[in-house]
Amino acid sequence: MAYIEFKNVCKEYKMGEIIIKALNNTNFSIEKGELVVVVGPSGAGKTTALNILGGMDSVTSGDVIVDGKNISKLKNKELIKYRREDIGFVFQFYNLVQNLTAIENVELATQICKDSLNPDDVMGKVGLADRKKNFPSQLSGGEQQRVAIARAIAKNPKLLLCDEPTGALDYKTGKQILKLLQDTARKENMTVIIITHNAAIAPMADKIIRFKNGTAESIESNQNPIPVENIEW
Amino acid sequence: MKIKKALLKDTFKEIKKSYKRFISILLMALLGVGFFAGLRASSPDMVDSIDTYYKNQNVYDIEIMSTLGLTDDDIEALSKIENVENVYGTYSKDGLIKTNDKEIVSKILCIDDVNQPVLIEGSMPENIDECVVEKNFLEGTGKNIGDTIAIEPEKTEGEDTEYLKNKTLKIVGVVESPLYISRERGSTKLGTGVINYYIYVDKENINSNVYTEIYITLENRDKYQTGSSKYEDYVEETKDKIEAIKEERENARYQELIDEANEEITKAEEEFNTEKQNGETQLQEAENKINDGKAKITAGEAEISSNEASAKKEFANGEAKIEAAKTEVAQNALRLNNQKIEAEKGFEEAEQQKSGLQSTLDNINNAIKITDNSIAEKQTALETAETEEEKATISQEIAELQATKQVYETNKQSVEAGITEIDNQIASGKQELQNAEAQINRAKSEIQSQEAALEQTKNKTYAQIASAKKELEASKQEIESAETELETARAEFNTKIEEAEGKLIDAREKVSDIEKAEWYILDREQNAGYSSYIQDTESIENLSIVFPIVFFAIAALVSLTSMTRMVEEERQEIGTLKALGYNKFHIMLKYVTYSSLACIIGGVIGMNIGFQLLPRIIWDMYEMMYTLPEFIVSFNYQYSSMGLGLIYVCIVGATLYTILKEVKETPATLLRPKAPKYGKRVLLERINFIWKRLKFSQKVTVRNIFRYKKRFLMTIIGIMGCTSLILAGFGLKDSISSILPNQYEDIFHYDMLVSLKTSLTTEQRDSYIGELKQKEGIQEIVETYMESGTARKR
Ligand SMILES: Nc1ncnc2c1ncn2[C@@H]1O[C@H](COP(=O)(O)OP(=O)(O)OP(=O)(O)O)[C@@H](O)[C@H]1O
Ligand SMILES: [Mg+2]
Repeated sequence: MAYIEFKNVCKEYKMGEIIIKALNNTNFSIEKGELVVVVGPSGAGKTTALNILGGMDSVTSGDVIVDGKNISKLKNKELIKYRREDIGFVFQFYNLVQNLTAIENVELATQICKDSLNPDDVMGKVGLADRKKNFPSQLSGGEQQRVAIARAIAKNPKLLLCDEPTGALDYKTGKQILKLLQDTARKENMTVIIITHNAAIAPMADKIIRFKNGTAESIESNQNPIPVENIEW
Repeated sequence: MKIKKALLKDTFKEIKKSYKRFISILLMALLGVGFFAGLRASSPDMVDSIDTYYKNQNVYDIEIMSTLGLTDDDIEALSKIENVENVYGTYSKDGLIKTNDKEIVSKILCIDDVNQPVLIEGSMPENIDECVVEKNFLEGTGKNIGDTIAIEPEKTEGEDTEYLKNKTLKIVGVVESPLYISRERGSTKLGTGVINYYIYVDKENINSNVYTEIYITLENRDKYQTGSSKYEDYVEETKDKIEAIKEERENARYQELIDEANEEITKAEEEFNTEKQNGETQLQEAENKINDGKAKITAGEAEISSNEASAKKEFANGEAKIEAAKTEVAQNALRLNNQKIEAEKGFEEAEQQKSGLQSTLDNINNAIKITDNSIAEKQTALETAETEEEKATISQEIAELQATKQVYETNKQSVEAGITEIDNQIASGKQELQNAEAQINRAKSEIQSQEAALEQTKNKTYAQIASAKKELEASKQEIESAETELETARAEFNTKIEEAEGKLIDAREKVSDIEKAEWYILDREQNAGYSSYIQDTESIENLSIVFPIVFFAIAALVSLTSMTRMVEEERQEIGTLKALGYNKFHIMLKYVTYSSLACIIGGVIGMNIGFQLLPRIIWDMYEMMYTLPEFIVSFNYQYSSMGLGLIYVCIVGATLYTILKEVKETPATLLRPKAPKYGKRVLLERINFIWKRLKFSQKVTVRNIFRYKKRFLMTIIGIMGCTSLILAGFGLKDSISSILPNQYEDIFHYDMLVSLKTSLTTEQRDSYIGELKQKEGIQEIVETYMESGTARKR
């Protein structure tokens, strides 16, 4: 039994009369500590799958098993606990709380977790030790994304889910972010799932899942992942 | 639940960031709570003010008045009633004061321990020639402290004691009476029928045997606030207890008056009776006297007449006797005449005898003479004879002659005796006759004298009788006059008696007319000023319920919009927080804290402003109508918490409503931009010719109206509320300002009102009205009659 398992997951959105099938019988599995890259065309259902995996959305049918827990069947309270303790989420647009400084944003996450990491250490890890007191508006996009990653990592989650973390960043910064993620996955033995439109970065992953029309079209394991710094695109 | 520090920080940062929004909510809370608390507190503050005032001035709880006045017995009886603390008997009366040109009516109250007036200026009256007045009095009359006024208290019918011992009073101060907090001074029978002012005099100045009012203060009344239902219940309860002794006291007073009157009547009756008795005895005596006099007169008359009769009889007798004597005398005279004639005859015979005798005598005498001569011749011869015989012959011859002479002499003597005898006889006869005649004459004269005497006595007697008669007549007249006098006296007496009797009857009737005493048990509610004040506080209270509702509604709407905006703006953040594992309570807490803070800060500021400001503003308006020494503004915890609670419910409720809707969503949904409501085609789009003509922005507007119905509705309600508030203000102003023209143009048409004295005669009145009509500027005069009356609820 794999660490993460998607079994026949379907997700439908009702838009008035129209029913949109965002996920249609999706199946895949991820092992613990794997760095997974999810690619696929727009509207294929990547974000939907990731949201479901992060406990931020419900399934219409099917099961999502994470570390032996069927999260599709979790109650609201358990779901919150799951989100709080097991999941670290990095958003495309960082989603930092504008009112709080960088470190406070990290604390926002750590304060509700049981075995969270020291926010200052994490800030150091993401290379922003001297920008802790800055507000998001005072940081560049990459720095903000690093704060967001710090926030996600600081929770010491089982799963680090990143939805297009470099989507809004330039090439160099994107690379830095990806490196940070890869390093984290390696060092902390954290299961990391990264959604990206950039198929070129696929070689850095242990597993590549390709989405198309709401299903994981192909799942391919990469026995020799290449460090990000070595990938050029 | 542990409040997360970072989240809290976020909340405060949020406030700082969106301070405008925060302040707008805060202001809504401020306005809402301020208005609510302030308006709601206005009424309690007003009540509190009057309550404090009334407690300070020891104002009565229950007032008792009686149609027959009240006595110390009543006070004693009332003192025994449960809950009654103090009972005060006091006096009040209306009085007329004439100042320079005006005649004003004033209520005369007396300074007492109950309903103490508040001294504003000057000092309280200490003597019976001092008084204190209300401020308006000075303004209205132009008098000042130190001036004197003359007051004429109202006279009650049938009472002639002066109500005031001293009617010229010096104004020594200005007071405010707790009994007259409004302009209303009540009505009176004096002057124009309206009481203009009140004045207070020293209690000593009052001269009355009954109290006009009894004021009662209740035990433990400090525990109750005036006007509160507890207070009213308490008063009502005591009133019921008083009600229980009411009839007894009424009857007692009635009986007392009746007894008094009866006593007086009895006294008067006694007096009347003795007087009547006296008068009657006097009259009787007078009558008796008259009767005595009359009897005496009758007796006198009888006596007189009997006297007269007897006198007459006597006189008749006397006359008869005299007549008899006269006839006897006449007879005697006749007899005497006859005797005289006989005696004449006898006399003639005797004369003849006598003349015979005389002649004899003459013869004798001659013989004697011859003898004598012879003797003488012998003697001479003797002498001459010288012889003794001669002598002796002569002497013998002489002796013979002497013897012859002696014979002669003897004859002569017998003749002479015969003559003498005859003479004697004649003389005696004559004497006899004479005697008889004398006797007759004597008898005649006697009779005459008797007659004269009789006449005299008769005259005397008749004169006496006449005088007696006259006297009688006089006394008769006297009696007659006495009788007429008596008659008039009697008539007088009778009228007097009648009058007195009438009076007595009147008095008795009055006694029977004495109406039963009726007690009026009143409380503060019946005080015009107090009750209108309390009513006003009630209307303010009603107002204070309606107005804040609008404010609350607006506050709720404003905060709903603000918070909806805020929540929508922070959708992403909410989603992020949720994604981070925050539960909905954590997230809600932020917004609840936010709105709560705005609400509480605004509310607390609002209530503090409201409690100070609004009651004062409202009091400012009412101050024109009521005179209270001090307006008390206090912080009312009940209304503040109520207002705060209500605004909290409104604002935080609105917040919860918005946030709950949002927080329910899955983080995934929250992180996506909110799906705009899918625009529906509106009805207008189908009306092509209009739709076609609309600009793009107009089309968006039209669609948005139907798309965001909530926002649209909120805008409508908000505008509606504000408009209605503004309009209500203008409406109030408008309707109040239209009262004046309504009252003084449509209802009252007159510009001037003149009240005339009722004592004016029709001519005086007409001439005055005629005079008025002549005056320039007067268009029309309407004469009318006004009377004030009392309407009582059955
Ligand atoms: N909340 C939603 N309501 C309605 N439809 C949705 C919703 N979320 C996703 N979808 C639909 O589900 C499908 C899958 O969407 P998803 O966001 O998973 O695609 P994606 O693979 O992440 O695309 P992209 O690479 O553009 O991000 C899309 O067709 C999208 O329109
Ligand atoms: Mg996506």
